[in-house]
Amino acid sequence: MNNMNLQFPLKISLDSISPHSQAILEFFIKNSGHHYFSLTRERALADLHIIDLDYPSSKQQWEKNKDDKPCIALAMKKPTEEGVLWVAKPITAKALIVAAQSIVSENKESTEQRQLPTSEAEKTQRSEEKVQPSKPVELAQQKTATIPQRQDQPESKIDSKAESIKSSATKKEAKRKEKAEREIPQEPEHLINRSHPPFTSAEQAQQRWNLLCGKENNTNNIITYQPNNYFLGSLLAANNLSQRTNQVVQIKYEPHQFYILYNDCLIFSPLTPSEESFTTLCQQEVKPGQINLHLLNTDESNKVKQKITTHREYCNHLEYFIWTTSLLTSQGRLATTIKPKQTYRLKYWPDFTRIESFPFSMKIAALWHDQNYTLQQIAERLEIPINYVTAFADAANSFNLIEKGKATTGTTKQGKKIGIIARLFGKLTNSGT
Amino acid sequence: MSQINRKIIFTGPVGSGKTTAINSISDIDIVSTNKTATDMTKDRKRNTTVAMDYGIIKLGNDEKVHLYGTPGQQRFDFMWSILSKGGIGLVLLLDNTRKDPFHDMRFYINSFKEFIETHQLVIGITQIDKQRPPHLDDYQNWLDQLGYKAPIFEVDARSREDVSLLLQGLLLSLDPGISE
Repeated sequence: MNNMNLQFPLKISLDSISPHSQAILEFFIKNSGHHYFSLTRERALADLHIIDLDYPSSKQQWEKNKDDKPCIALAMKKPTEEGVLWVAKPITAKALIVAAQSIVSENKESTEQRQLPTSEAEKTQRSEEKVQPSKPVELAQQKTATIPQRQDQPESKIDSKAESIKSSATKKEAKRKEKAEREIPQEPEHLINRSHPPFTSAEQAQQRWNLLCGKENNTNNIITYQPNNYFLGSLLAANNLSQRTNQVVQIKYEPHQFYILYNDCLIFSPLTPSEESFTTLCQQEVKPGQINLHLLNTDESNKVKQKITTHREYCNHLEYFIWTTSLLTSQGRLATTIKPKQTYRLKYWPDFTRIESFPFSMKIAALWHDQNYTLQQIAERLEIPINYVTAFADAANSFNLIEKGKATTGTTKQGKKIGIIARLFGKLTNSGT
Repeated sequence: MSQINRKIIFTGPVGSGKTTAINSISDIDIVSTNKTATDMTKDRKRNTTVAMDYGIIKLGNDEKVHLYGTPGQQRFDFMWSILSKGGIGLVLLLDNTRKDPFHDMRFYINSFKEFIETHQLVIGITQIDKQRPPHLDDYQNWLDQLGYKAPIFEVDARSREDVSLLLQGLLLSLDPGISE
């Protein structure tokens, strides 16, 4: 350990690090981690280094450049390198914060010890400790309550002063860890946009749902539209192209640019679906030639991937992006490819954890899954306004999730009103989800 | 409904996030029987569940839904049928970074075949942000091949919201007309 007096935020230099790990660290430091860390490009100015031991040639770099500053080693497996603090991958905010606290705490203790008058014997002992090879330190990753183990050993009386001090130090350490556990959020941070930000009021939520599904329609009057006349048509074409070619596809819609990476399930775009201007973009009809698709070559793709590592905030989950674009375009209208009187079945549920939900959307999926219904039948069975059904059908159709089916008169899955299921469902839907 | 039916089972291979998912949604600190892994499991994680995980969702008036997580290793399969007795549904978590997730899906669906045929299944795919493919539609095709229908969602087991949506999918599959 070096002789510096370390304090937050710790200046860190990133040594031999993969673009993915770098992106995660930069995102973390920019957001919730800024109290703990700040980045520096100058290795000499850093309080500590972070190294990615799974990155090619990183071990050689570490051996070559290592100094007396603390080092956090990111790795899938426990490293054999000495004198590093191991943070296991996948990297979590919690593990990084605990590592930072541990480094500062250790530094403080060693600084205090240096300031105390010491006997020659102690000096010798410390000197001996210093030459002992230090092993990588592990950081706990997960909080679990465990069944208490049976205490077979009788408690021994702690009467020596040394043991008392040791016990006190252990308790102090346990308290510190417990405090750290409490302070660190257990929920993961989302590195990409995958849903609309939480609503602050019921009115705000209703306004959003009106944008997504149109105003409530209790009539049989279904309005149709042509997706290819909107940005949606180009988006779906670009997605298909990216899927077929396994390459990055660029959509140019001046002044905006969108990059679709089907294999990573990402759309890179500074304009995100929760912005008002995105709604406008979706709802205005496009002129011929106004939107162009471009299949990126390897160099261009690498540049985009580089941008992605430095701007994770512009990364949107592909399904979230397409689903919301489809809803904002249709607003409760129906694409001309879907016939109102035809029966359809939902082949698969949409990925509800990664799409923007609206009222009744999961109920529609549950009823329609592998059952043939017309849109009107679904609205009647669930006793809901038809615009929510048309909005769902339209968005599901963008993912080819619905297909024509034969008319059935079955009443499967209807009418099972099981009390505890309803109460559990009520609890889950009212607990901030 | 009798007291015994208030149970949801979480199953899946080692490291798929069963303990974490129960921890995310439980109203109590979960009871886990985690031990340091000594077999091949240690390549994937340091601690592993050896008997079961247990959590609770409280519904008020002393009514509770019990959450049971099965141990992931196949040698504990004798416990699975014991734990699933009286369950209202099965949550199968599959780790997308494992060598053969289709094999995992087939294995667990076959293991819980009788339970799934009389109850409801929902599938959560974990770690998919770390590795694609397989994609979600691959899982949908595999489930079709096995002849089953169930909601399949991407899940971050640490996210209460994700686990809650997974359970909502399970409950709505049982009854799409549930009133809140």
